[in-house]
Amino acid sequence: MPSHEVRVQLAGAILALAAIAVVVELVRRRRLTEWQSITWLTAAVVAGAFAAHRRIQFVLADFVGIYYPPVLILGAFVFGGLVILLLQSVALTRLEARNRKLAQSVALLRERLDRVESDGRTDARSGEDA
Amino acid sequence: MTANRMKEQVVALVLAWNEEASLPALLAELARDCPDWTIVVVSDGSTDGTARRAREGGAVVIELPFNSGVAAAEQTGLLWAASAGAKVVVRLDGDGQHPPSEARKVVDGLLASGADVAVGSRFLHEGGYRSTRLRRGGIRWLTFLLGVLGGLRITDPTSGLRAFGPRALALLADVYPDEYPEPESNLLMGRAGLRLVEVPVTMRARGGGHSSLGGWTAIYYPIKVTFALFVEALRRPAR
Repeated sequence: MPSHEVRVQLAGAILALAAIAVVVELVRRRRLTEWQSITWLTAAVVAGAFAAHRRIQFVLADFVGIYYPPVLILGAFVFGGLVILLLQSVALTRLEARNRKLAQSVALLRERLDRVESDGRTDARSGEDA
Repeated sequence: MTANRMKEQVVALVLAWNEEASLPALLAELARDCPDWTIVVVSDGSTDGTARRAREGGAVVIELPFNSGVAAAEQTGLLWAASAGAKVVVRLDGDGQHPPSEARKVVDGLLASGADVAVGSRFLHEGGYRSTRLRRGGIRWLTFLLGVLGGLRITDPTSGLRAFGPRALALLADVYPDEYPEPESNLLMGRAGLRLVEVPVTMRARGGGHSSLGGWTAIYYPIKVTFALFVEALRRPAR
């Protein structure tokens, strides 16, 4: 049975690799853009690094004055998650605005097309009458 | 329909979302009371026979491909009117709350005052449909906010029965708040230097369809609009 530390490192590495694999697969299937994937790949690599080298968290926690190192990791990921959520909300708002403009353009163009087609039919009938 | 083919360069802009029940009566009333106006119906992603009823009623019909909300629908109509060379646009709800005879009063009030916007107010005289007590409390709060943030005196800031002159039309075709836009757009126009006046009107209860302010939106609406007004006051005035 490997030691506790090795098991934690192994689990962390497997989870990080699985996260990377999922992200790469999503990009491959065009369900996620390369640009969007950068954030998630970075998060996976950082999580993997923390798991593989547990000393990192002790050094960083000591540096910022956190007594219990795991809180640093948890806090960093919660903060990172919130930043990502905010960025997603900004992107969503931009898409909503574009969506609205597109819907309006479609509606106005459809009305114009109806009118042009209707005028065309009227002109054709006038021509036949003449 | 181009500018030279418009009747009197007044556009009655009717916003409708699944209003096939109430639309025919409203369009007939408009044709009878305001025969010199061009009637435009914006069907906001309706899934019933709204667009068909509107065509049967002789209106120009603009169909949004999906439900986009009252703000997007109104702005779509304003964009159409601006490109068609309309001089005045008056907005009415497709549920029949806004009688055409009252819409005419609002247009007359706009033209007589020389203002940029005329808001039809239910609270300048007694009578007619004046909403529930709770909503009237919310309306008074918004009146207070518009006074503090924009120096405006609007007794009915949520009124959708409004007439817009050329300056307001140009501004709102370009910039329009989202979701529940009436109070925010009043502030937007006021801060942009446009002159708003109020005209006493009598409104009716809804003729069909359902209100967009039910359930959770009744709680969300005042919070959203209050926040939106404060944020609007922080923006550089639109030009």
